[in-house]
Amino acid sequence: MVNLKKLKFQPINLSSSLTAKLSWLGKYITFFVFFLTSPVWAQNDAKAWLIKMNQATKTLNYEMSFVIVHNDKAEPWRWFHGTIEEQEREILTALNGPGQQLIRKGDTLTYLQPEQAAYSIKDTVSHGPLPEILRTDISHVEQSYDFHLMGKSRVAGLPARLIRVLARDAARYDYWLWLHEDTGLLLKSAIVNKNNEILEQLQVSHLQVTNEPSEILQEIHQAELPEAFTIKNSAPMSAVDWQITWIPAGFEPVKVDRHYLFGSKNLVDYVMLSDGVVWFSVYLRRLDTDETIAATALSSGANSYLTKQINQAEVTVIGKVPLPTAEKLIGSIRWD
Amino acid sequence: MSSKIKENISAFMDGQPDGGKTFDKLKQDPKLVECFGRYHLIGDAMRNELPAQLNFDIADKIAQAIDKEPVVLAPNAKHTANNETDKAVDKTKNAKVISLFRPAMQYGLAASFAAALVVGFQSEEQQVHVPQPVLQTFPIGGSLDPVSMQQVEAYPSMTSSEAALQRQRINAYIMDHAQQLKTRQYNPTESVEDGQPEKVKVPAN
Repeated sequence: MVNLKKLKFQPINLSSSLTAKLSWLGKYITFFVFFLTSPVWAQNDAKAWLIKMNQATKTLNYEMSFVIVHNDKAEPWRWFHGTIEEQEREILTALNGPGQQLIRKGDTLTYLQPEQAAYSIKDTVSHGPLPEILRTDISHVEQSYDFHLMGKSRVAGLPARLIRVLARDAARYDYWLWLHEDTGLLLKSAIVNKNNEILEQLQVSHLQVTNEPSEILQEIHQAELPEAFTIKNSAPMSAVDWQITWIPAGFEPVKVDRHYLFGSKNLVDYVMLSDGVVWFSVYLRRLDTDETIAATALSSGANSYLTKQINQAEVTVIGKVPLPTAEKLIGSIRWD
Repeated sequence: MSSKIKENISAFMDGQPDGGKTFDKLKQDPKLVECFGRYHLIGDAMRNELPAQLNFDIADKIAQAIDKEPVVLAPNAKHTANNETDKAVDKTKNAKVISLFRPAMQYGLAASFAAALVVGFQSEEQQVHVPQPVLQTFPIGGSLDPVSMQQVEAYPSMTSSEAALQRQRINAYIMDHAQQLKTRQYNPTESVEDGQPEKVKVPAN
């Protein structure tokens, strides 16, 4: 009988403890849902991670190997970074093909390419395999993108945090960044369109953070690099006699000039636009009266290329923006 | 020792996966290990990679060394990311990288470039001769590739000379874009002259 009673009571006990557990779980879930749905919180947290990434990228001593994947191509790179005498040093080396290199010494960047003269430029945003967002001003980026802190995962054998940098409009792409949990360094990144299709990826395969900068970075100090150029100030947008009447919010002209197109006799008006994450080019070439050109659209990875004839001009947009953005922008060009 | 196992070893050496069966057998049978070593020796001889002096007990030494190695179950995050490695290891690694680094440094130094390529807005088009660009850049890291024949053939109405011209023009734009990206400034507002940031008029969409 006693046993039976115990048996009878047992289910009741169990259910009551279950209810207690459920209500506790309920509170937990409520808290969790609150946590997830409070965007300000998540946004600030994600921003803190991006700032951490920014700082880590510029200050730590590290060595990385990574691969850039776009379309059917994979490009391996090696990256050394460190601080010597309070000055940033960096070497990026392409491991396949003829071997390109990018060397940073403080605010001077040197580009080394096969069969070409080396050159150095001061105070520039580097153009290499790394996404610009690594070194860009995060508060500037905040004006056009939302930041979302996602879950933890394991990337390159290390614990990682996923941060999504989501464009507020469909005029540009999203960026997903996996950051090393301990240091904030980049372990993986992806450029993603609004259908969540990955267009380009960077995947780190090896990361080593050290106390002292690698010896190879000492070599930069001794190496005789070409004298650095400072880039000429850009002309104002009013220097050109045409206007772009539609630009996605947040993009600003950062470079306006007239120059001869690479290796050709064609003179072009040039405008570079940037929102702090993406930099893209707009070219306008005046056509002869009898000249016509066919519209051409190409894309590769996240890059788009679009040429169209507008009145008696050939307008070309190139860069990491979706083709519809390029098309709308070209369609909005007006003459004064 | 059956010829089947020998065949398996040979296949294993050629990198054919067998789920580790051959490897397990190898670990247990010293005779098979000997056979494995012999096959490698044969391979080396065929590739002309034999050292001046052959050291036949190297397999034993490696086996002993492996016995002393601790078993690693998973990559150790601390080890790979946070610790300074052994100085000796660092040295050899650097030596390799430096050899990678040096040839590139010998490409030579240039004097003038992009700044000279920019033609002022005030200058007359006719008076300016086309400067031979000193600066040439390759699109790198996820840039557009120079266009191939195939892509341009998507426009069937074109003659081949037109297509070639267009291809040339597209490549010029792509190369120029890469060049422009290498010569951009940090701060957009500072780049505008007269301290008057001139913005493109953006009307409501």
